[in-house]
Amino acid sequence: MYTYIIHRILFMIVTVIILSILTFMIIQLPAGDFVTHLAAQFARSGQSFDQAQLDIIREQFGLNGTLVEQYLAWAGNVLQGDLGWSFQFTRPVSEVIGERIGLTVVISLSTLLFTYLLAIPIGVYSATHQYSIGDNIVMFIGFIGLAIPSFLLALILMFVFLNAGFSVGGLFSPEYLRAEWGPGKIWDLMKHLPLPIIIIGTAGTAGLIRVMRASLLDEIGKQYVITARAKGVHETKLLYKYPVRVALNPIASTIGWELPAIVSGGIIVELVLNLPTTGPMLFNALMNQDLFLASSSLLFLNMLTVIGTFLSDILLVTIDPRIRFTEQEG
Amino acid sequence: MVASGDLPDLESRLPTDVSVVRPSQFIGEYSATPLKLLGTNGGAGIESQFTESMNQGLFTTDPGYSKFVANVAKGWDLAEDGKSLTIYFREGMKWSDGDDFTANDIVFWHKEVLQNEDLGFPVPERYSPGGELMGLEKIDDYTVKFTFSIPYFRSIEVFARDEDILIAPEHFIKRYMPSYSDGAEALAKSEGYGSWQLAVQAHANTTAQMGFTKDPLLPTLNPWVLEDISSTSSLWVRNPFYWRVDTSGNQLPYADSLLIQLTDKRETTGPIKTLAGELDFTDYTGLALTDYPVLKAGEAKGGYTVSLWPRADQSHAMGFALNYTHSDPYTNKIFNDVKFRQALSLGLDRDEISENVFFGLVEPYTAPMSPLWSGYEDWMGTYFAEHDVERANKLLDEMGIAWDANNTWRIRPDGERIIITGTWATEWLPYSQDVFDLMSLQWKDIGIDFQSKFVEEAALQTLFVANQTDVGLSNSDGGSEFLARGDYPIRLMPPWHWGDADCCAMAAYEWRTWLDSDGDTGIEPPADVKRIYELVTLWQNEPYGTEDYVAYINEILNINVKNLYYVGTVSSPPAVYAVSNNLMNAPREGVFGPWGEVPYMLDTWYVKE
Amino acid sequence: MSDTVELNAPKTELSAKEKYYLATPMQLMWQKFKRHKLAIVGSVILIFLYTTAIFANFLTPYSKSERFSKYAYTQPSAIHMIAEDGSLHRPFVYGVTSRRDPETLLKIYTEDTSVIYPIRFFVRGSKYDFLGFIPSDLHLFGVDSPAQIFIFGTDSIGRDLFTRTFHGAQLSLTIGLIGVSLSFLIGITLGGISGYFGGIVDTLIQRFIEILIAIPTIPLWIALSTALPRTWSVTQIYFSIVIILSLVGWVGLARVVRGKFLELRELDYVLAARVSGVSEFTIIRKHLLPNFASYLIVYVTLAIPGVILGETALSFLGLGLRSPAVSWGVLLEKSQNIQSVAIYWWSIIPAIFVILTVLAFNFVGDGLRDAADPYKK
Repeated sequence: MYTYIIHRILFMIVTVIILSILTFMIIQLPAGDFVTHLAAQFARSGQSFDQAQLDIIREQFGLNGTLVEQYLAWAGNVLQGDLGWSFQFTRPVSEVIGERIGLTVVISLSTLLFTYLLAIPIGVYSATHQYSIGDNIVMFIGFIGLAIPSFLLALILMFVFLNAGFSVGGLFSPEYLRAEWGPGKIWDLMKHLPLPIIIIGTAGTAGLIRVMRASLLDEIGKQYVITARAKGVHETKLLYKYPVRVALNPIASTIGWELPAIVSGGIIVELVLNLPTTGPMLFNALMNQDLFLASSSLLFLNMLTVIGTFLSDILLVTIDPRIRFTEQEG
Repeated sequence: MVASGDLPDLESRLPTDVSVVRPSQFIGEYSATPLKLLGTNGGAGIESQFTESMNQGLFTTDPGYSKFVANVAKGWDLAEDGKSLTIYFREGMKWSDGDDFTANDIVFWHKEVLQNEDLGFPVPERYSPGGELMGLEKIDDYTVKFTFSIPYFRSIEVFARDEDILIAPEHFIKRYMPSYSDGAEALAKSEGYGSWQLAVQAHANTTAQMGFTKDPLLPTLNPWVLEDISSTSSLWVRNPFYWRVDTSGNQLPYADSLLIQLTDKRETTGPIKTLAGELDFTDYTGLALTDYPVLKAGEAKGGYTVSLWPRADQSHAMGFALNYTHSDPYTNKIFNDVKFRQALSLGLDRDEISENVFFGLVEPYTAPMSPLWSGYEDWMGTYFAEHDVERANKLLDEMGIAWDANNTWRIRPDGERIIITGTWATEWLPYSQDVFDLMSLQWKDIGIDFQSKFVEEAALQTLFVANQTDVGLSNSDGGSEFLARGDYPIRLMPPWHWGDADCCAMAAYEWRTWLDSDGDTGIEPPADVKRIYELVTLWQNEPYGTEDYVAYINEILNINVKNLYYVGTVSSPPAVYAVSNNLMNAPREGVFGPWGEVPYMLDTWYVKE
Repeated sequence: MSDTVELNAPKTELSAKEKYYLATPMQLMWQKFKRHKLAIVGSVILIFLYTTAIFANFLTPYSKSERFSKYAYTQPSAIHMIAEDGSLHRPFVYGVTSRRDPETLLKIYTEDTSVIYPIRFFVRGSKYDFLGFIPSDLHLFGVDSPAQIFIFGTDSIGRDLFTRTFHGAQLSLTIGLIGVSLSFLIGITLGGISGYFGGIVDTLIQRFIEILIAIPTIPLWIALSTALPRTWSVTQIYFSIVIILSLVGWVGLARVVRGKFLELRELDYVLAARVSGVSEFTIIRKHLLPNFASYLIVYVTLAIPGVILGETALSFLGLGLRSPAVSWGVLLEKSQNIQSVAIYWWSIIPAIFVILTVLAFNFVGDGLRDAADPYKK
C-alpha cells in the first residue's frame, strides 16, 4: 500500500510537469499574443501604436522570448511562489485567482450539496419503486435536465426570475457588492444563489439520479439481498444496511473528479449569469491570451485533476477489496 | 473631515482660477448614493466608457464641438508660426492627494518619463512632429511652452485629450524610480512587480493600463479616485481636491462615489441589469441595438428611460476595403479595377440591410467619412449606393469575368469560382454576422461568392499583416476629423485602418509600407494613392479651417470616394442608452462628438432619492 | 415411436420457455428491448429525425439560404381551417402585411384575411440535389405566392426556421455519429490493448490517458478551434470540429474497455482458449469482444448526445460552426440573448430538437442497457 502511494505521488509530480508543458503549448497555439490584442483594442478605440511601442510592451510583459524561454521563466517563478502577472487585470495572477476562488467554492459546494441531497433520495425512491408513476416522472424530468443546453436553461430561468422580481445576474445586489461581510450580505448572497445552483446542478442531478437508480437496482437483485429478505429482515433495514451503501460506492469514487470541475465547471452558465467565478476568468484569459493568468490557472486545474484521480483511486481501493494494487502497478 | 482636521478647508483645496461649469439640468445636491454603472471585466483590459470619459485632458470642446475650451489647463497660446504652444495652468490646483499640481509635473514627465531610456516608455509619433522630439520650457510654476521643429497647428487636437502628459505626478512616480529613490527596486518587488519599470508602468496611467488606472494609490486630477477594485466591481470616491465648481460655487462632483459593476459578458449582463433597474446609466458599450425592444417594454418596471442617440460622428455600420495588394495576380488585377468595386457596391441591397438588421433606422451610405467632415459634398454619401444588379452584372461582364456553366457563379480564367473570404474577429460588433449573411446572399446575384469567416482577434491581425486576407471589413469608428487630423485619417488612406503597427491593417498593407519607406519595401501604389499620401501631410500641417485646409481635405475625400477604396454599406446605427429616471443631470439625448463620445459631464450627476 | 412424436412436437410449437433458452443473445436483447417502452419511443424518434435529415430538401418548403426580406422575424404561420366567414376549408394560411411599431421598433405582422392560400402538397419550388446528386425541385408542401408558410417562423433576415432546423439536423446529427465513431475507434483500440496485455503497455497507456483526461476541455477547444486555418472550407472546419469533440470523448471509453478486459481475461474459458493454443487476436475477436459488445453499444448510444450538446456549446462560445453552415448549434447561437427568450420565442425551437434527440438517444441507450443485462428478465 505505501509503496503504491509513493509510486503514485512520484508519478503525479511527473504528470503535472508534463501537463504544464502541454497546456502552456496549447495556450500559445493560436496566432498572436496579448499585445496583439491590446494593439487591436486600441486601434478600435482610435489610438495607434507603432512597432517599437509594441516591442517595449512585449519586453515588459515577458513575451519577447521563445516559447521555451517563456515557459522556463514562468515555471521558475511558479516554483518560487510567483504565479506571474495578469495583463488584462494588470495585477498579480494570485490576486485575480484568489479573489474569485472563494465564491467559486461556495457555488460549487452548494451545487454539489444540492445535487447529492436531491439525487440520492430520489434515486433510492426511483429504484425501489421501479416503473411506478413516480419513477417515470422523476426519470423524465431527469432526462430533460440532461438534454437541455445549459445556456438556454440559464437564459430562460434568468428571464423568469427577472419577471418574478428576483435580482438576477451576479451574486450580489449592487448595494452589497462593496459591503463588509455581515448578515445582510450573506442573506443577499443566499438570495442570489438558487438560480445558479439550479442551473449548474440540473444536469448533474439528473445524471446522478440515473447512476444511483441503476446501481441500486443492480444491488437489490443480488443474492444476499434476496437471502436477507427470505430470512425476514425488515425492508427498510434490508435496503439501507447494504444495498444503498454499496450503490453509493461508484458515486463516492467519483467525488475526487469533482475537484477540477469546481474551477472550470460551468463556464457557459457562469458567463450567462455573470458570476464572479473562475470559469469566465479562465475563458477570457484564454481568449485574450493572457498568458500567465491562463497557464497558472490551468496548472492549478491540472493539479486538482491529478489529485482528484489519485483520491478516487485510493478511495476505490479502500472501499472495494476486490481491486488489487498489483494491477495498478503493472 | 474638514472639522476633524483631516482635510484643509474648501478654499485652500480649490485652485484660484477654479473651473466653473453649468450642470445640464439642476444645481445639484450632494448625494451619498453611489452612481451605479457597468464596466467590462476581461477583454484586452478592463474597459469602461465611464472611466475613460472621467479622465481629464488638457483641453476639451464646448458642448457643440465648435471650438476647444479650457479644462485642466486654463488657457493656451499657439504661436503664429505654429512652432510653439504655451500652456497656462491653474494656480493652487492640486492632485487628489493634496500635493500641488504645477509645471514641474509636466517637466518631469517630459524629461524623466518620456525621454527616460531605462524606463523604455514608447515615444508616440505625435510627440515628434517633423521627426524631432518636441522641446519643453518651463516659463514659471504655472506656465510651460512646447516647441516644435515644424509648424504644428494640430498640436491643440493632439494635446486636447492627451492623457499621457498627465500620467505622472512627480512626487509620486519618483518613489518608484531608482535614480530618485534608493528603495525603488525593493518597493517594486514588495508590491509584486518584476522590475521597477513594471511598477512605474502599473502605477502611472500608461498605455498598457488601457487608459485608466487600476491603482488606488495614484494621485489623479479626476472627480473620483479609485478606492478599490475587484473582479466584480470598482468603487471610486470623491476627490476632495477636484478643481471644478458649479455655477453656484459648489465643489463638484455631486455624487460621493461611483460604483462600476464589472461583468465578464456584457451582452447579457447589460440588458439584464438594466431591466432589473440595477444600473443608473447604461450606454452603448453595455447595450446593443437589438436589445432596444426588450428594454423599451421594461421601461416602467425598471424605472429607466431608453433612447437612441444618432451616431453622426461615424460614417457607416460596416464597410469593406479589398486587399489591393493581394498576392494572387488575377485577384489583384480585378480588385484594382474600379469597375469591380462599383459592381460590388451596386450589388448590395442596402435597404434590406437597414430593414432587417437595424430596424430600418439607417440609410444607405458608402463614403468612408461622416457628413460632418470639412470638404464633404452631398453626393459622396450615396455614391454607387443604389441597388442595381443589372448594371453590376454589366460592369463585371465588361471586365470579362465569365460565368460558370450553370450561370450561378463567376469564375476565374482557370475555371475556379471567384471567392472572396471576409475574415472577421469573433467578438466584434454584434450585428456583423447578419450583415455578412445578407452581403453574401445579395452578391450571389452578381455571381460573387462571399464567405464570411470568423477567427479570433489576434489571429486576424496576424493574417492582415501577413497579407493573407481578401478583404478588410469594419465599421468606421476612429475616423472623425479631429482624430484624423491629430493622428492620421485612418479611413482615407492605405491600409484603411490603423496600419503603423503589426496590427489592425485592413487592406493594401503593402502600399502603406511602400509609402512609409519611400519605395524601399512594399508594393508601389497607383498615382491617386500617392497623391492622398502627399495631401494628408499638407492638410495636417495647415491651420484648421483655412481655405487650403478645406481644399486639401476635399481632394482627399474626392479621390477616396471616386475610387471606392473603402465602401460603406449603411450609415452607423444609433447608440442605445438607458438612463435611470432618478439620475439627474445626465444627458437624455446625445450628440456624439468628434472623439466618438458624448460629453457626459459625470461630475454633475447625482441620484435623487 | 412415441419418442419421436415427443421430440417433434416442440419444433412446430415451441413453448415460451423453450424459445427463451434457444434464442441467440441478440434475439434475447431484442426481446427485452421491445419491452422497454421508452426505448421504443426513442427509437421511433431517432428513425424519424434521421429520415427527415436525409430528406430535408424534400420535406421543407424552401432552400436553407432562401430569404424573404419582407418577412424578417415573423412568428410561426397560423394554419387555419375556418375562414373569416366561418366556412370550412382544407388547411390554409393567410398572406400577411407588416408595419413597424414606432415605439418598440418591432415589425408587426397582421394577417390579411381577404385571400385564402391553401397548403398544397407536392409543389415545385427551389431547386436542390436530392441525396446530393438527383436534381429536383419537388417539395412536400408549400403555398402559392405571394403568401408564404413558415411553420417555425423566420430568423432575423427572413429565412424559414422550419427549413433550417431540418437542414441543421444533417450536420448536428452526423456530428454525433462521426464524433462518437472516432472516439470509439481510438478508445476501443487503446483500451483493449491496455486491458488485454496489461503490464508495461497498460501502465504507459493508463498514464497517457491520465494526462489527457487532465487537460480541461474548454481550453483545448479554444486553442484548437482558433488555430484552424482560415482557408479551410466549411466542410473541413466541420470535420475538424468533430475531431476536436471526439478527442475529448475517447478517454472514458478506453477506461471502460480496459476494465472489462481486465475482468474477462481472467475467466476460465479465456484461459481454456489460450491453453488450447488459440491466437491472441482470435481470443480478443471471438471471445472477448462479443462478451461486451452490448455494453459498447450502450456506451456509444449514451455518448452521442454528449457530442450533440457539445456542438451547441461550442457555437455558444463562438468556437463552433459558423454561418453559412447550418447546424442546430449555429441556429441556437443567434438565440443566446434575452430578446430571443422575451420576444422571438420561436427562435429557440431548434433547442426542442436538440432536447428531443438527446432524450431519444438516452431512452434507447437505457433500453439497450437493460436489454444487455443478462441477469435481467
